Amino acid sequence: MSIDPQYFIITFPQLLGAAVVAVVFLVLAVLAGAAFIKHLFLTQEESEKIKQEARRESATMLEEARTESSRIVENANAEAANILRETHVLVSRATKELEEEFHVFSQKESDRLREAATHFADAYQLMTKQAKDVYAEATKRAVEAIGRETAGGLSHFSSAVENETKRYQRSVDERLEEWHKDAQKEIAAYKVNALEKVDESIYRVLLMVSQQAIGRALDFKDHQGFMVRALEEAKHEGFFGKL
Amino acid sequence: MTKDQQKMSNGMKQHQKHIESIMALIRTRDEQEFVQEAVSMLERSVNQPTTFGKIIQSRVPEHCAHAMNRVFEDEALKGNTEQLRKFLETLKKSIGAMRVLTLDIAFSPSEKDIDAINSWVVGNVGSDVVLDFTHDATIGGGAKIMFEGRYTEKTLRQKIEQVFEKERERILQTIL
Repeated sequence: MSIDPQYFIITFPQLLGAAVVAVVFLVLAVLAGAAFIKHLFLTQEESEKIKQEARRESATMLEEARTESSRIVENANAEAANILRETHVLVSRATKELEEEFHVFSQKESDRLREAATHFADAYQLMTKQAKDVYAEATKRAVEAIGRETAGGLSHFSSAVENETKRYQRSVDERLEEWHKDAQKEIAAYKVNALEKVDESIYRVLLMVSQQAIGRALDFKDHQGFMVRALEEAKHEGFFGKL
Repeated sequence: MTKDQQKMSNGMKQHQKHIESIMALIRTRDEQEFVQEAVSMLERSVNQPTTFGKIIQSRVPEHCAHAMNRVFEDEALKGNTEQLRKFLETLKKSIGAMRVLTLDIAFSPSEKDIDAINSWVVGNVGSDVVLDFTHDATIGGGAKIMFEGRYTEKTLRQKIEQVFEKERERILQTIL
């Protein structure tokens, strides 16, 4: 299917009509824009006014608050100073009363201590005296007892010394006797031992001399004879095994 | 037994007889070493039996040399190198295996003494025994005898000690 090209041709009246419509729209648009800009300027002024009003109000409120707070702080300071003054007066009064009370108390205690010391000194003197008396009595008794003991003890001591001397003498005698016996035994044993040594020495000398003398006295024939006899004896004892 | 076997057996017996006769003449360890060395030389000269006499004369003690020369005159050995080689080998082994009788004695034995003792040993112990003499004068007489790991003392010193032990009391009484 094809489109007819006639449909795409624009005529003059159509073009003119379109221009008129465009101009109308353009005028209307300009008017509308002007009205909008005017309205916009008016609103900005109003808002500036409102802002200034608000700033004024807030400044006023801030000033009032500052004034009020200063007043409150001053009042508080005055009150605190008053309280401090009153406290100081009270403390001074209490201290004075305490000092007075303490003075009275210490006075009383001093009196009581002085009185107790007097009592204690009296009691000590009394006790010392009693102790002296007891000590003197005991010393006297002891001296009397020592006197009695010494008188009896001297005779006892002399007999004890005598007995002990006798006992020691006996012990020494016994020990000397024992030593004597031991020494005799040792001498006897030594004698036996020495004699045994002498015997042994003599025996060894004799043996050595005999060996030397007999050995040297043998001539070669004797030696040969001894040799053969030694071999014969060994054979006789089975030394060479089964032959 | 065939004639050959009989001959071989007789030959071996003869060889053994020769070996024993040589060993019986070896009296001491020294002589054993000399003879063994000489037999080694003979083995090396087995292809020249004419040199045997010279070797034996120069290496073997005199009393053994004559007997050894006589052995090598044996017709069975003469001209038979193989037989001779075997004989020398057996002889060397037999001499090396001779037993040793050690005698610790008080004197130095003369040739006569050695002969006498060796005769007794060959007659009473065996012909395969050589003597090894050591000297200790303190034994006085007799001998300390060592043989095949055994030991015995038959000395004059021992006998005197035995007498002294037995007669101790009597000897001391006599002296003191």
